[in-house]
Amino acid sequence: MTGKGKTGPLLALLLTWAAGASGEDLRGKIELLARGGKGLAKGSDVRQAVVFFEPKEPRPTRAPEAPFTITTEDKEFLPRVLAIPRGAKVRFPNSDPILHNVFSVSGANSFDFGLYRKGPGQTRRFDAPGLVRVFCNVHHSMVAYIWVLGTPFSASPGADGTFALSGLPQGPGKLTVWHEQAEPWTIDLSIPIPGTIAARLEVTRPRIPPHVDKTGRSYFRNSREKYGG
Amino acid sequence: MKNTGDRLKGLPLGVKIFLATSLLIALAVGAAVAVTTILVRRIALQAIDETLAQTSAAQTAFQDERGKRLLLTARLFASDPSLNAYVAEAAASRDSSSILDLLNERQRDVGFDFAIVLDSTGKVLARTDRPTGAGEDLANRPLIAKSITDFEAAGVWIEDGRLYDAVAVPLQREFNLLGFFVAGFAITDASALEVQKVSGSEVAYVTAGRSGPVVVASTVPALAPVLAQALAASQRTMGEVMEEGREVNRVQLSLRGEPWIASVVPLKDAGGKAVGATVGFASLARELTSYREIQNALIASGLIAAVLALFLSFALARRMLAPVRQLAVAAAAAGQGNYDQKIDTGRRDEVGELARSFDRLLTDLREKRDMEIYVADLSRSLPEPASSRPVIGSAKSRDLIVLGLELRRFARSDGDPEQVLERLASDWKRIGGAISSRRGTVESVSGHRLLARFDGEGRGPRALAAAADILGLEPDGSPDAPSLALASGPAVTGPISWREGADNALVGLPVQRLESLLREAAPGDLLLTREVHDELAATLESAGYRLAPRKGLLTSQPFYALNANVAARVTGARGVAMVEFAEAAGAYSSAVPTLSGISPGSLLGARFEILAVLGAGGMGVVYKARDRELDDLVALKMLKRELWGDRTQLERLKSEIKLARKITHPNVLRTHDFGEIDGVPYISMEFVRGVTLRYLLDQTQSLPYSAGLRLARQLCAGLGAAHAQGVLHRDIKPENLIIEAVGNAKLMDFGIARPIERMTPGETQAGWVVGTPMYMAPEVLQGRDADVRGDIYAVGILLYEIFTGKPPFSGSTPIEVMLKQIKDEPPAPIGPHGALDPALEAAILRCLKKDPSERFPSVDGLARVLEGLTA
Repeated sequence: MTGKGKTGPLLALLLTWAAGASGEDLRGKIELLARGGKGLAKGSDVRQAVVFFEPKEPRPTRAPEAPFTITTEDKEFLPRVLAIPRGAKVRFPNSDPILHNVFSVSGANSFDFGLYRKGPGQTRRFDAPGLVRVFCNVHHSMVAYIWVLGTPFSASPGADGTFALSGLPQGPGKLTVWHEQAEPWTIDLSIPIPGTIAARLEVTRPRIPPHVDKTGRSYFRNSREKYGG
Repeated sequence: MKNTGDRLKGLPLGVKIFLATSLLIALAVGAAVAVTTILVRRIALQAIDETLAQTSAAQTAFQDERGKRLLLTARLFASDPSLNAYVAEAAASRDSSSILDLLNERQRDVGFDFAIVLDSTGKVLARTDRPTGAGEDLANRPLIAKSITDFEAAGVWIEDGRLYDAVAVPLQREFNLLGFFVAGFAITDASALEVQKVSGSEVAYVTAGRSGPVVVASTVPALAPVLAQALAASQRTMGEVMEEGREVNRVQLSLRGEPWIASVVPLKDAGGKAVGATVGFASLARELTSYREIQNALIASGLIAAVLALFLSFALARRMLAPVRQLAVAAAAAGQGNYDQKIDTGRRDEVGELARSFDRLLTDLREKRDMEIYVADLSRSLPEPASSRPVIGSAKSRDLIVLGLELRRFARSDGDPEQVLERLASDWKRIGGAISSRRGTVESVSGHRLLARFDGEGRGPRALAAAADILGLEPDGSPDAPSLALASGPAVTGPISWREGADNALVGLPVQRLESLLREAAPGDLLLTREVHDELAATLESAGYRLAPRKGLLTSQPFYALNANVAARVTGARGVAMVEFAEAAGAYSSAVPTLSGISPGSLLGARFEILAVLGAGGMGVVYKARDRELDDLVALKMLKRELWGDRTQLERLKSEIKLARKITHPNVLRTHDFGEIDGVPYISMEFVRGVTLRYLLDQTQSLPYSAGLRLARQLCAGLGAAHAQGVLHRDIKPENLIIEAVGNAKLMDFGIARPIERMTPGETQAGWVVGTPMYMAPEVLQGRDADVRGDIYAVGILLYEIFTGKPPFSGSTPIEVMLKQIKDEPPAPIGPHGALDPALEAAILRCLKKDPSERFPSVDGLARVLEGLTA
């Protein structure tokens, strides 16, 4: 689902920033718990989480020239989750043979590109910080999340749930951990913080299992599966 | 045919009953089986009809349901603006793959089995069941055609030989038609099962394939090919359904050799044409099975019942018919004259009643036969009053009084010979009558001489009376009067046969004595030997006569002589025939009882021809006469001439008739008439040819048992009838019971009968006893009033005499007998074969109780006892 290619550029970006200024590190571990708080949630991908730190005194962000890309491929938005600095641009190409629609109704970032077939698609610039939910109006299972951030300090955890933020200025600030299936987890803390932060998020929006008929067979007539597990 | 009919008739009753019963049972069971078979089939068919109707209804319901669901789904689909926009965009650029992808996605979500998106003219934009089918024109398909005109349609869709419930709805943007969305649910085995669950019958969906009906779905896939075959065979059915679109019910199919009933309902497309059919079918065999069980049970029990009934009817017929058979055999034997069968009379039912009646009949016949034999035997010797030659069967030696008589007038035999003989004959008739009226027997008549004998009780007075009567026939002093003599002693009587035919003979000393006496007698004389005189001493003395013996010229023995007068007077003093107490003083002085001057041969009035003298009683003489008016023989009872003037006598006669006439009974001598002829009062009665019981008793010691019983029963019957009329007999004695040749007994001579009611105490005049002391009840002898129980007492004496041969009390004088009657207990009756049947003995003794209240209160009681005895 989330390919290595997605984390790659993100990490590179962070390293670039970290090279510019020396700062503190913050390590932590995210755990996604099943509903009720007992045990780990099954079927939830922790790599889809986004972690960012907002110091009390905001640091500036810089938007790159090249736009980010979210492609409709096999009736999915890829990447599913994207964190961008404010002012950055995102392009939405269609690589499927069928018509797709891309739209969002998330506040100031709302947009609708209508129906378009295979092609480069259109680009949008996102200035307002916040979460942008992106959908296709006919393909109800297609969704993408764009975090427009006002802080340069963000990361996504690895498969084990661990994350590291570096170059953080000392002093107070707010750490936010977000996952699409849980409520956002925030903590006020002051840099430096020893040890690792344990962030436990309860999955309150679990995945709905796919329709199966009486015999347990999936209703899907073709062999493709939407979601594993 | 005739043969069988006859043979059937001749079968024994038992077999007939058996056959009839068998037939009935067979019919009943057969009918039951037939009825149940028909009914069962009808019920089964009805049940199936209902089931199939339910199938049809369920099918319709489900179809409607699916239709609604589809419509809902389709409308939802079609109402999504984004979808509509998508379709529109894709359609505009002929992008069928986008639409197809969308349809597929939606199919996954919603679950319809196929979907088609068409443009507004009916051309396919994309279809899930044929991904390459874009551009196909479906405008002619009924569903599409209808939706083109009506903008919405529903119906059964047939595609590639498969059936679907399908709907078509418009896709629209604003109010413009963009195209159509068609979706359908396949009609599958599952659909069939759903219907079955509700209705209970099997369900199949068929289409009309090229080579016949094809089963596309069913609840019994195993039967599918067979069903298709069966439907194909039922050409007319499929034709009706598919072409005419009509429902066909009660289709009979044979699936694997078993009968099934089906109803075939068309599945119609949106245009109303049948593209397939729903077949609801149910197994008749299965339906019938449970009823078959009932039927089998019925047949089984019927058969068992039949077998049982056969046995039962056999046994019953046997049991019932055994006595009937016995009766039949006995009846056949009786028909041959054999009355001695023993009949089993124990049963209680109708057969038992029949047996008892038959038994009574046989008993009656037996007794009658016995009596007939007995009487026939004796009737050979019936005394013809006019005849003087009774031939008695056996030789006897006894003590007798013999009467000798000479008709002196015939000493001269001048005149016309015929007249002489006629005169002789009529004289003998009269004399013979006189003798027999005193119970004498004429032994022989020879020319002008006669020999008669008297024996038994009271022979002396009787002989004397007979002699007096004979003398009285002639006027006094006539030189033509007969001469008579009486002698007594031992003699031998009996038949002798020394020439053709038999004669009676009487020989002995008395006969010799007679001879000598008759030599001495003058006309009108009655001479007695000394022995006879001595025997009659009491009688003579009471008449005031003292005769002196005389010596005859020719005989050395002394004798006594009476003339007519004396003789008459003597007999007038005391009664005759047994010892009869004469009437009171009146009779004593004036009346000289002779015959009333009527003699055999004379004609009374113009009506009655006197034929013979039958007997004489205290009041008068009884003659046998011919009633010229009725042209019949009658018995005439006349008062003695001497008594004519006596009004009381006449009144008594009249009242006797009034009473007697009331009684009509086969065992009572019938009284015909009362009248006066030439101033002589008479009673005419039934003339019966027979013997009196007295005669029978004299002849034999005692009667045969069955004869005696028969007599006794008849006596009781007759007496009972008299008592029922309120009449007492008061003089029951053997002389008053006459027995016809056929064996019927009749009670007669209600001569001194008195109506029971009219008796008031004390009316019997003192000193005047009515009846015969031998047969009189003690209370009557003692002067008390008689009633029915007095008659019963007399009957008792009679029965005693019948069954033992002699009366219970006897004596040489009447007084002696009277005293014994009053005081002595009767000795136990012993019959000729020993003691009597205890019941009979008890009955007889009960009749003879001194105290009347201890006797039978009525004759019926006695009759019942006698009824119960068997001969």
